[in-house]
Amino acid sequence: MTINLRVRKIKEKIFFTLSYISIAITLIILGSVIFFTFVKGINSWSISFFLSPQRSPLDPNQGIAHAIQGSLLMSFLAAAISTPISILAAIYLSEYASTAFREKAEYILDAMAGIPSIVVGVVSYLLFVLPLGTFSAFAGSMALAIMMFPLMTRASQDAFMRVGREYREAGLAVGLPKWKVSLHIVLYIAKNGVITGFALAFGRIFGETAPLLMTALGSRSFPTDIFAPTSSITLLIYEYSKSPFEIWINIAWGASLFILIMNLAINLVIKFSVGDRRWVI
Amino acid sequence: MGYIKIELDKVNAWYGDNHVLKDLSLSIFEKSVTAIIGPSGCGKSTLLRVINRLHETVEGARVSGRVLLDGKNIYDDDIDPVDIRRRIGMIFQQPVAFPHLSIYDNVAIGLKLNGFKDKAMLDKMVEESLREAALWDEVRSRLMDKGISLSGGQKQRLAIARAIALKPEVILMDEPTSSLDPVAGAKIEDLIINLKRNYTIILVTHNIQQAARVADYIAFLYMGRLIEFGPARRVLESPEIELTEKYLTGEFG
Ligand SMILES: Nc1ncnc2c1ncn2[C@@H]1O[C@H](COP(=O)(O)OP(=O)(O)OP(=O)(O)O)[C@@H](O)[C@H]1O
Ligand SMILES: [Mg+2]
Repeated sequence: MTINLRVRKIKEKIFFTLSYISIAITLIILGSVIFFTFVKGINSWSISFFLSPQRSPLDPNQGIAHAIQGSLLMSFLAAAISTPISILAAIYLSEYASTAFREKAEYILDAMAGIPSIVVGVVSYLLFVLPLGTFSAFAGSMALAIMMFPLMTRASQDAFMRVGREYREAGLAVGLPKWKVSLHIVLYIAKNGVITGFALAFGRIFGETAPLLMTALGSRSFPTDIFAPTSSITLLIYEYSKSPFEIWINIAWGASLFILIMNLAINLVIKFSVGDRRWVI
Repeated sequence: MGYIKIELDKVNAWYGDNHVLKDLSLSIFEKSVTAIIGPSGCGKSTLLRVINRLHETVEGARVSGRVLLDGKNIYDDDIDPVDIRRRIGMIFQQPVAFPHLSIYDNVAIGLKLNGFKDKAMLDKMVEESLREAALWDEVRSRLMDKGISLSGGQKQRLAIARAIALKPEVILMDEPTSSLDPVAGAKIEDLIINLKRNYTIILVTHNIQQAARVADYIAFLYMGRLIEFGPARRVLESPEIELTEKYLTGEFG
């Protein structure tokens, strides 16, 4: 064996070992996050944990029902606002825009997706809290919709652009106007990509805290008015985990476990509903 | 020679700066098969796509000149390209079956999405179209299966049924058999010969034997120009232009 060959083999071995260690560290960290959240959180799960709202910090019969409702309310409202706009914007970008315009728009959307969520919170505070004079579920939803918009638009646009030109031309060739080709052919063929994009964006906003701190603020009771302060699971975790009360701290762990499982569930639902071989994380 | 269904008058076409069709003038006779032949890249597909106004849907593509359908220029301002595409159907080289639609809906899509509602009438038109496309017997028992479950040759006949369902006057076919095996290709050729009783057909083909079998007229294109045009036998047996003869004898292509 020449010296060169031996050096090369050693380098190869070092590189292999380093990458092996790296993935091991990553998996161990991830595993311990899940493990600790599970061990710490599972004890606070009970019927009242899921069905009751906040009570006095010393009352053991309390839960996060008001926060779950707030989270679902704001996430679904955000999705309802942002989904149709995102899909239409994506259709415009992939079907109508010139290449030059599309590239600029992609750049802006990608930049928008990277804006720290606290900044989205501050902007939403200026746009939706100050003018209305109150923190509200509505303002929270708008902040989440702003976060969801670039993610879903880009994912849908990519899905549309993967649809072969032959399908569009076959649609045009039977005398369909372009908008019908976009809506009845391209959108359907790209459906799985759009659903994946939706689920990823939804999972992302479902776990957001910062934009809600500045907009929805939080609340101790069930949401009844979308123009009033509203709780969310993440806001509750944020508040309880800083509190000095043991019951609340335990509930915060339980709520963390709940969010973690929700996110895993959303990913599994995508994986199976789309029949996609990719693991989406 | 018969009624002139389509007349091209000094047609030019571009993709950006690429000048693809050059002063092309050509008459297409009603209820006949006109084959467009010529070497790869000479502009055959572009010519078809100019005739149903699909060319202009490509970014940067342009057309000049006139294309008269029944004497009326389809590039006039008062003409909606969507109406033209209902009157002039098109079959592509790669057979297209919409993956999200059943066999039935693959045929009905043009009617349905153009506002046709009457279910009984729709059933009837789908059946007629599939019969005319010689596909009915193979699919009648599984109309609700997905269109992509069909074989290549069946998909191509499905595409023909889809075009026929709109009762077009003209059918453009861009190398409809080149992606098929010989048996499936022969079925399409038989079909073309039957269809010309009711439709005016323009067939782009690489295959000179195919042109000899099905065409009434042949147009030979070279580098975007029409080199020779005439009755099929005359062009094949005694071409007037040397370039045509060279192409037919396989000296290039
Ligand atoms: N979408 C497009 N964008 C830019 N240029 C194009 C496009 N389609 C075709 N061209 C160019 O136009 C010219 C003619 O192409 P066309 O497809 O009409 O030829 P063709 O005769 O059909 O060739 P083939 O026998 O290979 O199908 C070629 O030089 C081709 O490169
Ligand atoms: Mg071609």
